[in-house]
Amino acid sequence: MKKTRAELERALAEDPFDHAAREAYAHALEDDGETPAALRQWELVCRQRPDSSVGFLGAARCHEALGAEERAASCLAEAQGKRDFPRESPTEGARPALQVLAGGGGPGRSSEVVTLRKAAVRFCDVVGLAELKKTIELRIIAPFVRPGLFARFGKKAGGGVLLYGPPGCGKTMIARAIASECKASFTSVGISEILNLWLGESERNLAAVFDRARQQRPAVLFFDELDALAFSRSKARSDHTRTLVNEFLDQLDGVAHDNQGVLILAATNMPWDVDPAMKRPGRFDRQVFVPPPDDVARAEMFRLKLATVPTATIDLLKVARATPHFSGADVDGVIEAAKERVLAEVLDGAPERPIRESDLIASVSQIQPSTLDWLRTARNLVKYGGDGSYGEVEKYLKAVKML
Amino acid sequence: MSELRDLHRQIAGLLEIGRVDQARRLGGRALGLDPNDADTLCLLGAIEIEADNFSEATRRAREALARAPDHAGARSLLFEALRGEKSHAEAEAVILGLIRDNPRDADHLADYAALLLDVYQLDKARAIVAEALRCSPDHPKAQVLDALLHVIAGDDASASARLGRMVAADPDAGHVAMTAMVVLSERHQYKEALEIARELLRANPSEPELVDAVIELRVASHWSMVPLWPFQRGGWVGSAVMWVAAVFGISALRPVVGDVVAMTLVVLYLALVVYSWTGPPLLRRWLRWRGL
Repeated sequence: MKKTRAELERALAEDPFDHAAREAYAHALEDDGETPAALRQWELVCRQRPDSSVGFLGAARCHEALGAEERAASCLAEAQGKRDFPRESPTEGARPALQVLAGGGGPGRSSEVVTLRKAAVRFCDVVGLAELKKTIELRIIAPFVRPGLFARFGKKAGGGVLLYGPPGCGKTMIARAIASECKASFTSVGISEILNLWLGESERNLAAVFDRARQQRPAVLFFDELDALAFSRSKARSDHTRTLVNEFLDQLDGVAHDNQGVLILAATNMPWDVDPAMKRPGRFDRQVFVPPPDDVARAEMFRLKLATVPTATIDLLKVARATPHFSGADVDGVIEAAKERVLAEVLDGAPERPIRESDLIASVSQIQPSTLDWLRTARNLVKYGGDGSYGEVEKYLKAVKML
Repeated sequence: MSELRDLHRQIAGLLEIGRVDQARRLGGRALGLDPNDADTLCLLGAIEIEADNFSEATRRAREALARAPDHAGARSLLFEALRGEKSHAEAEAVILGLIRDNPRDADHLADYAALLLDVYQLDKARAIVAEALRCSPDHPKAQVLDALLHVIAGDDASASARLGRMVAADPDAGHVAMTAMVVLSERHQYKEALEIARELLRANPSEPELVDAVIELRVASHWSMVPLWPFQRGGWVGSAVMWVAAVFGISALRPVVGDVVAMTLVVLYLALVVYSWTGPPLLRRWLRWRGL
């Protein structure tokens, strides 16, 4: 079971020489785009395990991402000298989807971002959301995979699709799955790859990402946290935000750029913070709501996540029904709480036993569904805002009796 | 040092797009690089203000001032935090100090006017806003305050004129829309105000004040409120006029129209009065439950 950053921090506070925890923590920092902090952790791993290549490889990746090519090369050479060095793929692994190449720009920044690996998640890996998957298949994947058929009906492949919904409900995973199903190269762009407060740098980074995707068509370009990259200009206080949105619109508009064969996906928790101009035809005109998982999907999540843990007979559907509105991340939280409950009993001297249904049900009260705030906010929008573009949210809220 | 400045820029950028948690994480890193840096402490305070945690923001501002007593940013932050905490007297002392040092700074003047508006010192607020606009005629906050003060004074024409200038300068800005909503509502143009309020709510759906504003404006513009038009339009003066008209009008008409008609008019008037008490709250509840 993958630990959260907070858990890893706690583990490291208790035992600073827990190598596995430090490596996992460094990976987590890298995943969150906090490369300098990840580098510090990898350097500690190098010091604690000088005979292993793992730390040096991590440090090499971080140096590379920070544009320190020479240091990256020296770390890689150091790693290659270790006995456990993986011979087939030195810097590739579960690491960033992007590599920053040397270029101009502000200090510590470069201008080009390229893909290092292709997405491997398939639609069958996404639990539940059957209706949504069908819609995506028809509206997004099929036009991409069978452009001829759709062209005869006057529909083009590519364009922009905005996935929105509460946090932790699989928007990013769906985007990755779309890329695999489209059999296209996948470039994931997070805010840390684009946002740079040096004047003009963010715009250059954005243009570089689009240029690279156009060169690699068919390609899927995925912008995570679109609200941060295309923040509503009416709410922005600085010109920096406004110019970045202008550049984004320019790249999407296809007047100066041909985006045929490039599917532009974006995900956001806060669609209302995205500049309205981004949602107009020709840009992110297809908006897809990714709801929290339903009962069946949550039961399946419990089944998968409990597969490697000792459990008694559990009515998973009953547990799923006791966790309305829970996201995948919340399901993880329930399972962790149940584990802690059992372990606390065992440590108190009780005999070792598997996780029971009652442990899971009792743990539910400890976890507040993280989607509720989002759903309440969306309810305001649907109920009082009169915005017709959130029809899918309205349907969902009615189905779960929140409207 | 440049790493610290980079972090500061990143924090400011994250605050602009409302990423409080991420900004707080970077703030922690900046503090780790130099725990005595007043700019970092100010940014940490700004993060707390964004999260409506005013007591923590005050603490951060005081920490920054302990390290750099003349730091203008820290003093402004302290003012904002104290105002948020509703410590008006302390906040006034801080802002007066800032104005003394920079008497022509429109930001400080507008901040002081906003504080005076909080405590209903309207005449003084009006004078300070006028001074702020003299120093910087296009200052957004001063313009908003000017429009609001005109609305409060019942001077719709001046409020509309100010609004017109704001719309011409920056039609898409949120503060302009908010001012327009208030001005239109005061001019009893409820339908137009409602459209703007809904537009604002679409952009900020998590704001409960906007939900309340939308419901109030919908109540005011609902067809069932037509019988209450005199009360809505005239407020308590309208109610008084209606009462006088009803009492004296029915008394005067009674000899002419007869008892039955007079009694019917009395019942109708009483029904209107009862409806004016019960109708709007019921409609408000209905709209809150059912939506618009």
